[in-house]
Amino acid sequence: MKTIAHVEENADNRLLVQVILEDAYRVVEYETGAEALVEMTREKPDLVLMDISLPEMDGTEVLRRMRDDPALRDIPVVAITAHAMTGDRERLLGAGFDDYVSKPIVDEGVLLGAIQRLLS
Amino acid sequence: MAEEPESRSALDREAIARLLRLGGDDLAGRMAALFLGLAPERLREARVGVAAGDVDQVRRAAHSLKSSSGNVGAYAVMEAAGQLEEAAESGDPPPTLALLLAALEAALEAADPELRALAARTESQA
Repeated sequence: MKTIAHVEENADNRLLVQVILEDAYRVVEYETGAEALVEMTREKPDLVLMDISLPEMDGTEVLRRMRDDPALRDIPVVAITAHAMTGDRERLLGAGFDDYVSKPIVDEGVLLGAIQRLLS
Repeated sequence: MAEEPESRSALDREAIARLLRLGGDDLAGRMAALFLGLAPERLREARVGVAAGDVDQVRRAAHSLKSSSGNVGAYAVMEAAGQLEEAAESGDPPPTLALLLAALEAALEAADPELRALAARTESQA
């Protein structure tokens, strides 16, 4: 079973994603970017779900540090963002995210599809 | 004089049905309880931010409320939080932020009874 790391500050968002993914994937949760960066080098996930609006170090900065790290740079990363405006998609993809999913997650198929495409 | 019944639920029925389908009463109840637990703190952070002129604090608190309220289908709260977030981002003046904050507080108050009812769905379990 593949491992997905979910980086998200809020417990309710973590719970929702956990429930959506737990039948198909092993989910590891991190509350901050700093924690994720340290722990992921010890236990590399197959994919990362990254909330953009993390406290202190935002999701885009965490991604930049992952891409700078040979141990982490090849892991696919999906941005999860409440900002759903048109320009945001281009900006996120331009920053190096492999895909993005809007929250609130109203259709779990969108999240699962994004993950499946990157892991196949 | 008899009161008019509420014509609109504060929690979107489809959103609640989705939570129930994903994880039953347990998930729906836990999500409602988590929201009820975090909302007062985020509201306080927004209130303090408005009073102190700390727009970044207002923005972050409103953004968090926007995200979490969406999870439980409290779309009026989500809308109000989104407006406060945008106003803080745009550098709108304190009186505007205060007005939007009051609207957000009213929306939260309106959703409170249904959120508590939803959270109670798991309390009877061992």
